[in-house]
Amino acid sequence: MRSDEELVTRSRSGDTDSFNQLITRWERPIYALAYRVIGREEDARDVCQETFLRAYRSLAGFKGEAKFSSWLYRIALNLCRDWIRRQRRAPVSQFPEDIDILEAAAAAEPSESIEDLVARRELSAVVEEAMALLPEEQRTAIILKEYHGMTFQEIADLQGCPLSTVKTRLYQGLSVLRRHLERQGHQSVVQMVKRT
Amino acid sequence: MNDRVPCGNYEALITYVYDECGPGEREQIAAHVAQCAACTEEIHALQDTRAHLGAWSPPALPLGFQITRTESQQPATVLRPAGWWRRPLPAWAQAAAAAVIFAAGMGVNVVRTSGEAPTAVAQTATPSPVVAARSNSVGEVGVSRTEFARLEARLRSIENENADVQRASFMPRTSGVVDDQELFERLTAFVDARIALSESRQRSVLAGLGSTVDEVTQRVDLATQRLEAMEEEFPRQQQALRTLGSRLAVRTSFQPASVGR
Repeated sequence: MRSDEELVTRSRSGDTDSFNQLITRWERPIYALAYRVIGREEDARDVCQETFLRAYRSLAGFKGEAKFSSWLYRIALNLCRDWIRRQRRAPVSQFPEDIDILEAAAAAEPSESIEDLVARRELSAVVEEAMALLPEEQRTAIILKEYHGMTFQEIADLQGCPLSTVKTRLYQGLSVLRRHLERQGHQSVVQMVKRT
Repeated sequence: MNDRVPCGNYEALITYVYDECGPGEREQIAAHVAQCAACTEEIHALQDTRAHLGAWSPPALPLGFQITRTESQQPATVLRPAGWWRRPLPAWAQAAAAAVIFAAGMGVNVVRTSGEAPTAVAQTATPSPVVAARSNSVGEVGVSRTEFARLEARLRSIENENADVQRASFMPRTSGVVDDQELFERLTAFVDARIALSESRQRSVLAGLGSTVDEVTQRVDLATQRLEAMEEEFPRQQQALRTLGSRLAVRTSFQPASVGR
């Protein structure tokens, strides 16, 4: 499998298939990032699409000083930031009103019971709600760390802040989340998560 | 914690929880945590919270974006601009043309008036009723007092607008009955003064314009030559643009894989 850098080089010489391979490789992470930052499915999809479109158009300006994925993440985060500015409000996640048992059964893994699936979805909704309470910088830092496995330094580069600020954002964000989850009575969820 | 990692140092706790410690740092923190109940509890709380976060997954929206490239894209249609004689002239050229026309008109006027007596000039530049009144008495031409009053008001407004105009004092500043003959004489004197002033202004303007007419004409000729040269150059540039456009005719668009693939 070709590396990102090799595919970028081919893309810059006009090979759109190589760029499409990059899209296939990175569209899920970019969409997940956008969704978790802005909290809306369709808007996250638009951000994801715009991210790759901008990247394709700006390939000539990509000097390869950073990783291609870091460059993509930077474009996506800038677009998310623009979106949030336009909305001029905290992201509003589309929380499910309730859990559809039939839908849940259809989506269940073969080894997962319906009860576990419903519990997992409930927890997902609670976490999403708690994340939406965080300031944008804390939420983004936690997302980049928890769901994209970035190092402190990579987050600091993307957010344009010192390392210590990243650690502060992570700690404060996790503390707020913990208090919110405790208020929602999700002490037992820890055991459920450990079980799954 | 020990001296290097004091209790309440959340940066050290976060570094430990995410396992991004420096060389030897993790052992130091671990040694402290093993002895400190508060730090142990804090680390467990952070780890539990992180475990919760793992349950959050974004909805599985179909994506499958891809770049599509259309080689057969038609080159952009380039409309051939109208000939130079149909295209609007630049502002400076329009101004120059206006100056030439104005200067020509003024020149004709000078030629027509230079050989005549000042009174003849007045005939071309002043309203005919006044001129007619100059050679006839008020009664002979049938000018009423009301008409005189209207003319008086108009002349007063003109006089006020032109403070530097030689004031003929055709009317006394004080109100009262004015003799017709006196009024007529004063009006005539005022009109003559206005005519003389206008004539002197026209001569001074012509003096300034005359020296630049030739220069403006030369500039207009030069601009015309340049426009003709551009007209000849345009087909070659158009062809070059078409060639470049066909090379770069890349149309990018995103389509879901389910549609585009």
